[in-house]
Amino acid sequence: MHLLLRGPIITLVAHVLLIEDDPAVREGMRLALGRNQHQVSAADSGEVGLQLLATGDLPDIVVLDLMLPGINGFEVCRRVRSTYDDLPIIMLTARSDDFDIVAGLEAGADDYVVKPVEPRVLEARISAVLRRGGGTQPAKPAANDSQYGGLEIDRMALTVRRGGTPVSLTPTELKLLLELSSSPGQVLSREQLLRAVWEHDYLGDSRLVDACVQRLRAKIETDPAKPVYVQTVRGFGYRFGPV
Amino acid sequence: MKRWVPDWLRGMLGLRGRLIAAFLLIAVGGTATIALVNYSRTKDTLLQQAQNNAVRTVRQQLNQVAGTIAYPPNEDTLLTIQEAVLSGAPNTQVMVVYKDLKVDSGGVNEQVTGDMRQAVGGGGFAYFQRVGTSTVPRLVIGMPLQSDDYQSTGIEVYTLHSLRVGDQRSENVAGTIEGVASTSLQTALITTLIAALLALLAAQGVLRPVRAMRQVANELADGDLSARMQVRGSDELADLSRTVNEMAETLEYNVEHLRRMEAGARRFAADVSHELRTPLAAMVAVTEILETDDPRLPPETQASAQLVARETKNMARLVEDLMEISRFDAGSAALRLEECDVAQAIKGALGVRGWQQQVVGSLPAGVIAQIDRRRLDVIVANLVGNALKHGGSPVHLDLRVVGRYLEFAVTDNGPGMSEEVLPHVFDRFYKADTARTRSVGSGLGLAIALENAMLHGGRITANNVQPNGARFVLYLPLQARPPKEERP
Repeated sequence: MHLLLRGPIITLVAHVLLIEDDPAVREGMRLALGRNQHQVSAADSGEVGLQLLATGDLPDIVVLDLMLPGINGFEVCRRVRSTYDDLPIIMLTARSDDFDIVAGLEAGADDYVVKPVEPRVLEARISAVLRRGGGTQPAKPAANDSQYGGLEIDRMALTVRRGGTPVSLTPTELKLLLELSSSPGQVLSREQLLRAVWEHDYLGDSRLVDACVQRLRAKIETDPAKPVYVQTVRGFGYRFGPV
Repeated sequence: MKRWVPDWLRGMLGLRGRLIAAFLLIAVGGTATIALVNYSRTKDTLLQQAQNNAVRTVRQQLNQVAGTIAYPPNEDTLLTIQEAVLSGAPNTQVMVVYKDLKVDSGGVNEQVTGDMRQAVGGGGFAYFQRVGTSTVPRLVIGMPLQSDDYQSTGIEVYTLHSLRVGDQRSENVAGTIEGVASTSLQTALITTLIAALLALLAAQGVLRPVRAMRQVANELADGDLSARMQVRGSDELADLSRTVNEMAETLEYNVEHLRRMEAGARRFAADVSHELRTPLAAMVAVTEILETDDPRLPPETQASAQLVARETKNMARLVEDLMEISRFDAGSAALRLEECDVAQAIKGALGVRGWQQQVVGSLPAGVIAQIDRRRLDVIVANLVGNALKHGGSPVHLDLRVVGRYLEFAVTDNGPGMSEEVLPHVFDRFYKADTARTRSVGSGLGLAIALENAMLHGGRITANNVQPNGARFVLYLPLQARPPKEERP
């Protein structure tokens, strides 16, 4: 991944693994992404995609269609997550499949776009996801290394330890945790979090936040059913602590 | 049957009540007629008998006395005759007349008419006449006294008999008449009871199938087209039941057929849009490349590419709208409610589309409602977009709370809608101006807006305002009912 100056906008140029079974859509996306200098590897099934991951260069991001022949998108998503913690995944879905979106987010996807998607929308999402892993930090870092109960967050090294054991988080989960913990005890609405973490403007999908909070709790909380670090404030949003 | 008729009265006025009433009327009428005829004939016969008896008795007494009296009679003679008659008929008043001589044991003279006097005086026969009221029946007998050789003696004897109860001899008569009357009454009562029972049975027999039919008709009306009558026997009611069943069967078949056709049509629309989406996804992906203004391209190629890119996006929007409508039709549209400030949401929808400068009016903060923000966004986009398209800017917006609803009015200052258009503005693909080949929208915008409002339990109204302009008003409940999937 490297920075490219194109016009007035700085875009991240990435190696994208595109898993999409329809040849026309695959070709169209390859053309569109390729035009913006992204390097695109394309796979026509989940099996081929996982194969490419295992053997080829590791991509910066996976763009994954949910409706795939053979092993479906959710399963591909889970397998990618189990092997590569910090590899961002963007799902390609249809809006009619509301349930699929939730299932995909639970399987570990970082974001989703609805087909048919205009290239600049996909481009924007890819850039946003990649920036999360790029070490950009919240505007007001509390301290480089903060300790909250049994949770230790190193804002410089971008590592998280629970009881001394390193916790492996995806870039989105890490960004969410950094955002929440930068102002402990303060309630952040889902919209605020969507803007800060996902860079979604108006009408972002709050389920992205909820699904990501669920995944984050599963990794950092002792009992995810009774969260201590990421607490829900009904009707308002989420709050870090008080521990 | 009208609402204000109470239930018990409805029962009385119903078929059962009318049947029973008819049976009773027939029974009572019949019995009464028979009893009346019986009574009057018995009474006549008995009175006739009493009359005959009285005449016979008087005649016997007179016959006995006729030989013993002297002629011409003096007053003593007349008294003798009177006594003789009285001895034979004790409860009788007797008057004996001879020329100017007259003896009367009491009140007889008043009862004897001139006609009678004339008839008795002129002939050799007995005359009688019933006098008095029906409750106090009396009998007057007039008879000329004849000598042994059947010559007229000129003596006339009049007797007055009471047929009243209490009179020894006529007690039987009145008693018998009373007896007949009371027997008739008893008979009438028994007959009436039997008639009522029969009427109930008959009503039951007719009403059971009628009730069953009503039940079936109700089930049919409630949409259960598989409801059928049980056909028993082969009478008119069974025929009717069969006809009802045939009707229900035809109805069920037709409705089922229509439903299948409609579902087929809807599924087809959904399938078509679904199938269109994949090639569209590929085309939309390259629109950005087509929109290029690369100077190396010939101008026609560039214009064509731009046209394809533009129309591809329009088509993608149309397909999205079609799929959205299909989801409403299939009932799979889900409501994702969240509490939000409505004015803020509306401003957001305007801002994303760059419309803030094209609207005026009041959007007060603090209208908090449970709504699906994406769906509200769709509604606002369609209503305001429609107003901008037909009326131009500025579009007047007005948000307020009315009771448990929020009211969001969008008013343009265009030409308004004609009377023919007004009822159809929410129809799918309805184009106000048929001459216009194609508008910017898909033709589904207002239909989708309305579906979205109704999903919330709200609605949208459309009308014209004075002096010109169209006005669409969105009503949404502040507390929308919870979405279906969250119901137990």
